[in-house]
Amino acid sequence: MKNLLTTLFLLILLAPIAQAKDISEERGYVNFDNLESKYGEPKVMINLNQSMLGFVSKLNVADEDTSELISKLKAVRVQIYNMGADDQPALDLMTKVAKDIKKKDWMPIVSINEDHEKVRIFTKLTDDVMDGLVVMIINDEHNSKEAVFINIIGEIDPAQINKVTSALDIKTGL
Amino acid sequence: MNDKKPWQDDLDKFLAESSPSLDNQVLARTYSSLNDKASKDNCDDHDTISQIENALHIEQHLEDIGLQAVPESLQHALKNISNHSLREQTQTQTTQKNKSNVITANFTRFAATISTLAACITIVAVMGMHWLSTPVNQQQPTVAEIHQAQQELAVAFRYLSIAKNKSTTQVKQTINLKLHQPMMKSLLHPLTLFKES
Repeated sequence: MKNLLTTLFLLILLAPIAQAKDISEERGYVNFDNLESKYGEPKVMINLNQSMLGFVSKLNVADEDTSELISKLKAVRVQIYNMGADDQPALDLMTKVAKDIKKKDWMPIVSINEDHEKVRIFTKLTDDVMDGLVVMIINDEHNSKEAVFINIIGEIDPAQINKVTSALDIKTGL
Repeated sequence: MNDKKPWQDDLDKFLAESSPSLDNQVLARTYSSLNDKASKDNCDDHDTISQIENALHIEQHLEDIGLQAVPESLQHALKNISNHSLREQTQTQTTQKNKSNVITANFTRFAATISTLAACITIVAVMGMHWLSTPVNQQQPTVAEIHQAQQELAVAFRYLSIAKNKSTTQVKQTINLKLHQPMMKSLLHPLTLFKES
């Protein structure tokens, strides 16, 4: 009886953990290895989950399109590192991620290989609906040497990205 | 009717004195028929008749003896027999019951455990459904947190815009370089030749 009560207690404790759906199980999720050991703390680290995006969506009810687009997102993850002189770890990570997601039927839509700039954009389509987007930028032009890794999980229309950025109308210093 | 036999008087006297028990009646009837037969056939069956007389005699005095106290040892032995018999009977019944209800017996043994487990699962399922309907992270963030999230989202979208613009520029440049310029060259070249001629 004592064992059963202990089991019950543990089950009650673990139930919400088991029930909360892990974002890594979503189709549009991509795992970026952490580059902290190479470049230190990221310049920007964003992890927005569905509930927080839901609140942001409700905050932008004035613009229906923006509100609708945000409400369809399940997660937004951004990691931006200042690379310094050595861009090799970031390039290696970009190559590794590109190789991994190609195996998982992600579609490469843009690939730029300039001397000072590398860009990769991949999308995950399910039944003609884009439910995942990966953007990787390695930029060592001028003074801004940064590696950008973005993963948007959920339904997204690329045509609306600029519109949403304008609608959010926030000075980001970029 | 007056031909009463000599043994008849003794028998009547015996029956009048003794209790009208079934044994007495049977013995009397047998005694009577034997005597009749002996007188008819002129053959004596003295042994049988005397045995029946003895039996009648014993039967007559049997009631005088009355109930006798049973010796303690005999009483103990009889009780033992009775107890042993009861035990055997109970054992047989239990074995039969166990044989016929093997699943039920096992179920009864684990009934408490199974019931408790079922209750646990039900409670966890109900609580889980409650938690599922109100996500863990949806614990009403403050307005400042929502604004912070909105700003982070804007940063993310700004980077997406940058990537998109770069891609668009790159695509345009590529089209211009690989498609537009060669096409223009190929069109202008004949015109230049025509002008020169």
